[in-house]
Amino acid sequence: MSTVVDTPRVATMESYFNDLAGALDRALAAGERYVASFCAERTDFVRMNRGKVRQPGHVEQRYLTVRLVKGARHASHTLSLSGDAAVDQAAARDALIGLRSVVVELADDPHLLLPDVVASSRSVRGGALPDTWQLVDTVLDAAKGEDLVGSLAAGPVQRGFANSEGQRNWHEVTTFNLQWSLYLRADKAVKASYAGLAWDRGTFDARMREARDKLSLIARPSRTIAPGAYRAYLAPSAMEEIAGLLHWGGFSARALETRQSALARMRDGARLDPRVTIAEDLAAGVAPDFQAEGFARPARVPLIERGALVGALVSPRTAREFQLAANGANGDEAPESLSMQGGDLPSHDALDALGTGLAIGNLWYLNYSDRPACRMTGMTRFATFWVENGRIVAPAEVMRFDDTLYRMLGENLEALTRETELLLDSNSYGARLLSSATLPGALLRAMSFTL
Amino acid sequence: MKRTLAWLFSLVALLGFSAARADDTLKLAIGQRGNWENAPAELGQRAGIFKKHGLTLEILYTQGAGETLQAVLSRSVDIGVGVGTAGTMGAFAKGAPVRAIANSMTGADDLFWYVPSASPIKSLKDAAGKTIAYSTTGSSTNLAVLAFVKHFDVALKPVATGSPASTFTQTMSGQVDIGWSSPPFGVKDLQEGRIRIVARESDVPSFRNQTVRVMIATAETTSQKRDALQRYFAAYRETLDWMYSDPAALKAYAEWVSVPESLAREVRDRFYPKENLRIERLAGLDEAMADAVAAKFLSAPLTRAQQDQLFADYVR
Repeated sequence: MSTVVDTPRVATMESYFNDLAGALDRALAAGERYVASFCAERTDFVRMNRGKVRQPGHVEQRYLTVRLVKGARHASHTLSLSGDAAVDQAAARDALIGLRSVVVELADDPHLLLPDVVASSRSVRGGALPDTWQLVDTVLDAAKGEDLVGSLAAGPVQRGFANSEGQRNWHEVTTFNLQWSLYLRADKAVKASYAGLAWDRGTFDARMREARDKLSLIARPSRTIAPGAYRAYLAPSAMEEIAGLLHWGGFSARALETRQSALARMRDGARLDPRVTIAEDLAAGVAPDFQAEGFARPARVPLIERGALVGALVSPRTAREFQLAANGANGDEAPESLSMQGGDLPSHDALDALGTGLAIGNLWYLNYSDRPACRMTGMTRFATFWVENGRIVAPAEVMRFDDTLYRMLGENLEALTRETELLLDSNSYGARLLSSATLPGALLRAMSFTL
Repeated sequence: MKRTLAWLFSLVALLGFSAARADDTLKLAIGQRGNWENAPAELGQRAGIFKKHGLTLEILYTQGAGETLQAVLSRSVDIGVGVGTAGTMGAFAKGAPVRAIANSMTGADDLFWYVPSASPIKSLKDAAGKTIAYSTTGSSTNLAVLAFVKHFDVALKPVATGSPASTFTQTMSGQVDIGWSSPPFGVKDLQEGRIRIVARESDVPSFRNQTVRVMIATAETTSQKRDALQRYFAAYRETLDWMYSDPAALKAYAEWVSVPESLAREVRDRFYPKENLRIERLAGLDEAMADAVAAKFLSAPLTRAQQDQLFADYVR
C-alpha cells in the first residue's frame, strides 16, 4: 500500500519517537503497561486574498499522549514536545510518574480493551513536494486578474504508536491541500480545491481553468428558483458535505447498537439504491493503518454494500461493551478513509444527463433536520447553476435543501459518476487531519428545496 | 366431534394469526438513552408488555429533546418521549402541530448538587460565596441554580461546567465547590461515600410539582392513531407498575445499561419516585410557562384556549 521513502529527516523524527518510547519502557514499574500515540507535523500555511499572499506561516509541532495502564485502571496525559530529545524524554518519564499516582485512585474500567498481539507497521507516503513558495507563485500566476481567496497547507504529517509490549507503528504522509475561491463580488464565488500527495501542474491548471470558466458563468444574471423538487447533479465536493454528516455517528457501531445513528433504520431493512457501496478503505486515503490504542486497521471495512448496511466502525471500547470485534476504529467511530464506489456516468456527461435542473458544486451549513429519518438540510453555495437541456443557463440564488439520504441516494438516485475524487480533509484545527473521502458525483431525479 | 374440534383449532389459529397481524407499529424517538425515566418503552417492549397490547414499538434514540421534537414534527416518528414542557409549548406557540399527550417526568428529584465528602459545606445555606456548577446557560440546571440563590437567599457563584462527567472532575479537583449530576452518573460515588448531596432541584418548591418533560405527538397522529395510542398508554402504565414492583425489571434495566443491580435500585428508589413518572400527571403549568418565558421559549404565557388545544389529547 505504501511507498517507503527513507530520508534523513524521516529517520530523525521516527528515531526521535522511538527514543521517546524507549524512555517510557525504562520508566515502567512492575505490573504496569503503557500505550503512547504520537502526532506531529511540519506544515507551511499560506493564506491568500485579492490575489496576494496575506499570511504566510510555518507550524512545527509534536504531541505525545501517554496512557498508563494498571490492571483495568488507566489514565492518560498529553504532552506538547519541544523537539529536544533529552528534554522530551524526561518530560515523558515525568508524565508517566504523574499518572502512576492518579491511576491508583481510579476505578476499574470495564470497557478497556487493548491489543493482545503485537502488530508493528511502518508506512511513509508521498514524495517531495515542490517548494511551497513555488506552489504559491504558480497559484497566483494562474489566477492573475481574478480576486482569489484561498489557503495552502503543505508538508509532512506523522503519526506514531508505541506500547510496552514492544509494538511500534510509524506513519508519515506528505500532502498538500489547496483550497481557493475566485470571487466575482460579495457572495458570488466559485470554489475549487486540489489536494493530494503529488503536485501535478496539469491537474492544477485544469481545475483553475474550470474555476475561471464557472466564474464567467456566475457573472450572468442569477435566477431565483422557487422551492420545490428539482433534478440535481451533486458534484463530489457537494457529496463530501453529505457524507461528512454521516461522520456524526452514522457508521458508529456504538450509535447503531444504541439506535442513535442516523442510519439506524438501515438495520431494520431500509436500503439505499443498489449502486451505493461505501467502505472505509485505507488504500483510498492517507490515514494510518493503526489506531490510537494500537489496533491494526483492516485494509477495507465494508459499510454499505449494494445499498444495504453491512458493517460498522467498531472501536475497542464499543467492542468490549457490546461484544463485537474491533475493526480499527478510533474512539469517535467516524470514517477516516471513506470511499464510495463510482457508477457508470462519465463525469463530462453529467450535465447532459441532468438535462434540466440544478448543478450543485458545493453545499454548506449542513445539519440533520430529522436524524432518525436521516433527513438533512443545508444551503447551496458557490457555483450552483440552473441548467437547461444540458447547458448552464444561469447561476442560482442560494437555496436551502431538505431531504433524506434514503431519497437522495435511494429512490431518487439516477446515476453515479464513473470517476471518483479524493477529497482530503482541510481541517487544521489543532493539527492537520489525515481523513479523506473518495466520492463520485451523483445525479438525482429529484432533490427537495424548501427555501 | 373431530371435525368440530378441527374447525375450532382452525378458528383459534386464524384468530391468533389475525391478532398477530393486527399489531400496530408505533415509532418512538426518545432522548437520553439509558435514563430510568425514559426506560419504560425499551423495557416494556423487551418484556413483551407492548406486544400483549397489540403493539410493536420501533424505538430510535436522539441526542436530546430538540431532535426528538423535530422527528415528531417531521412525522418520521409517532411519539416523542422526554421532551421539555417549555420547548413543547414554544413549538406549539410558533404554530407547530404538536400535542402534549402524557407526562414523562413531573418533579425534580433527579438533578442533584453534591460536594466531595470532605467538604465543610453541609447545605446550600452555608455555601455563601462558594462556586456552584450548572451545565450550560439557559439549561434546566442553570434555572435551578438561579432558583437556589433566590430560594435559599444565599450568594452563590454559578459556574458553567458542562456535562456531569466534566463537572465531576472539576468538583473533585476543587475547581468548583459544588457540582451537579444526574443519575446514574455520580450514584456509584454516592454509594461509596466519595460525595454528598447538598441540594436537589426539588428543594425549590416551584420545581417540586412541575411537569418538566412530556410525551408528544402531532395532532394528525393523535386523531389517526387514537386506538393505538390508548393501547400504548395502557402498556406504558403496566410497564411502570412492573418496573416498580418486579425485581426482574430492575435486572433487565441493569443489564440494558450495564450497571450493577444495586445501582439500578438506588437510581430508581432515590431519584425517580413512581409518582413522578405517572403518565396522567400534569402539574405546575403556570410555573412551567413562566420558566418558558424566562428562557425565551415563549414570548408570553399560553392563553387558556391555547393550553386547551395543546393538552386536548393528554392521557386521562
